[in-house]
Amino acid sequence: MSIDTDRFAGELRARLEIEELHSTLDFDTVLAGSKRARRRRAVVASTVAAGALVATVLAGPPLVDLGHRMADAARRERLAGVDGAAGDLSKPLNVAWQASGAFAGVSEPSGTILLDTDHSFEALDAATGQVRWSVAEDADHSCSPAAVTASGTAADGPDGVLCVSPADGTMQVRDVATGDVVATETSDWREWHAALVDGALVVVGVDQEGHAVARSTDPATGDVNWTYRGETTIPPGGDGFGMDVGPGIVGLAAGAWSVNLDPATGEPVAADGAAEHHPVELAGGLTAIQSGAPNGAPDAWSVRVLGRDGTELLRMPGILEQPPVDDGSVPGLVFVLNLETNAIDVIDVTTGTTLWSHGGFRPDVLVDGFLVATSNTGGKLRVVDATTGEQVWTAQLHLPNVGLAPLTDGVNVLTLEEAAGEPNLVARDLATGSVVWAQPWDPGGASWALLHALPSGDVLATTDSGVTIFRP
Amino acid sequence: MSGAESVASAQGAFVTGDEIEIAAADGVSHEQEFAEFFRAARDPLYRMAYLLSGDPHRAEDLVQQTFERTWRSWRSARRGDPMAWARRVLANLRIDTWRRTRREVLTGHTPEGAVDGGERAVDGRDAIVRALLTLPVRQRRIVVLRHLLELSEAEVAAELGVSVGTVKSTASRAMARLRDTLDTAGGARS
Repeated sequence: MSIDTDRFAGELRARLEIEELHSTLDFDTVLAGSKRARRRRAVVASTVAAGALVATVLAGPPLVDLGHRMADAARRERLAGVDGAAGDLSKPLNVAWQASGAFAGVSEPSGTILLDTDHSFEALDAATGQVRWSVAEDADHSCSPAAVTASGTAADGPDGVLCVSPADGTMQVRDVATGDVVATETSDWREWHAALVDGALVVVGVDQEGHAVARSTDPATGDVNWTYRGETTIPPGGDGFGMDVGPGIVGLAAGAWSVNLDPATGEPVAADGAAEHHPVELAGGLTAIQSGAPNGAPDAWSVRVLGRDGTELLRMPGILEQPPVDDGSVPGLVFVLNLETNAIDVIDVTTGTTLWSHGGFRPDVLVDGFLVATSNTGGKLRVVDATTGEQVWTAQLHLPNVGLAPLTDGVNVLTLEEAAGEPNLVARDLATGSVVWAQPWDPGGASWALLHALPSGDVLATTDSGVTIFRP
Repeated sequence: MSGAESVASAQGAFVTGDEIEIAAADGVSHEQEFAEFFRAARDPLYRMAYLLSGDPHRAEDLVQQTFERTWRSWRSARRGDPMAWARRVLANLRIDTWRRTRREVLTGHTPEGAVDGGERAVDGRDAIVRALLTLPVRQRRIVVLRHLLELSEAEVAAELGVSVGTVKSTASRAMARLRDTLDTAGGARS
């Protein structure tokens, strides 16, 4: 290593302050997640929960004014069709059941929650927590859900689970709800990796002649969608072979060689080019498209916004950071991470002007003109006026290091905060921040928590140690 | 010491739930051994995971999975260098767990200080992490292990299953690219 490189690396380490980075994992959590024997799946008696409720509600009475209640009902109704929004959060939520393991996905249409435990991959009934089906896992058998789509997220969750046995080269695609094997495929390639991408079974590897190869198959019909065979030969036992799957790409890499394939066609796409992906529908019939490949330089990233007729209204460098939940109450707002300033610029598409800009937050929810945002390292939740960026209220979350993804029903925001030294699930009024109700819930040694709304009205909390279902 | 551990020391094996623990030769159970490893490895693995993923949520998730997989293979891992074993597990995990949560790779956290420091504040750590995220995954792994976690070229080569020559050439290209990226960002800010 040259002195110059050595100095540069030293500067990087100093600026990173690596020694200041600490994990919040604790041993019990790791071991609990690793031992099926410690799995607990408890249905909490309603009487106990009710007692806890009485003991821990922190705030005053709910709104009784009829006008307010009608307005709240209207907001909830409007939000009912918004992806990611919760049902009615005005009533305290109790723990219905919980289970330990690594959350692997939720299939909303079938009400199936997927968990990766130490020795098995399990599909749980979201209503009861009972195991619907499971597959034993060990060093030679493993499963993973289909979670990647061309747009980067699967709105309804994975529709299949892929289980592989490298030892005998078999792959099984299972129905997420029943566990039934819907397709089986084998590979005699020298080495291979597989994933379910956009509903297709994509296998990449190195064939017996040493060529990088890939194949996409429709699990339902067995039809081959496309195949790929690279010209470069990859020597055995050299640099290893890897597969990387992301929105818009299936990546193959070995040593200094790599190629990115379009998952729909199998055609190579430029690694540093400006492949377009991430089309996001915005309020008012607008569409935002993220351009740039994951391997691209910062200036290769740009966002385009198209009108209803496909006319380009705006193009700017950066990365689209639109709130995952957006009720369309402020149409024409685009959130773009400016890679030069590291702040998020909030832009009015109609005028092209930057309304406000801020660093250090992640936009989670835009509803009724309020932007709910969280910051990771300080564990704060902030609610700001979406058009001006002015802070409306803020709360300190229970998980200060990495935080929480909040949930809203359009009237209340669900958070995890401490009260009297104990963690509580808390509902706050979206507009004022006042506490509506609080219910004790200890996420154990979790360092982060994500709250999801299920179609059934239940709330699913996923943490790094397990899942919990809440319902009124 | 728990009751189960006492049995382990006395008899060499004990049953906890549906699992069988084998005591090490010196009477220390594998669980105790793994606990010591956990305490020593937790932060280093988290740093590596954070630098690779750029996202504290994913980093914690990755470290959790790394420990779980390492514990599952503890009999093998403890024969050599468990830390190297775990780093290798972690290096290979990221592909498997791509977008397990709804957080996107490129929407990693920005520090609290940036909020309180006002608009357009730039944090050194975050700028570097974002620059790291622009590197191809293979380059990023090598830069993180070689230059940020300061492993030797031979260690990086062994842990990633590549040649020392590949480590040298890849690290050189990656550092040059990283420097360009950071220089560009810095120039634009000034």
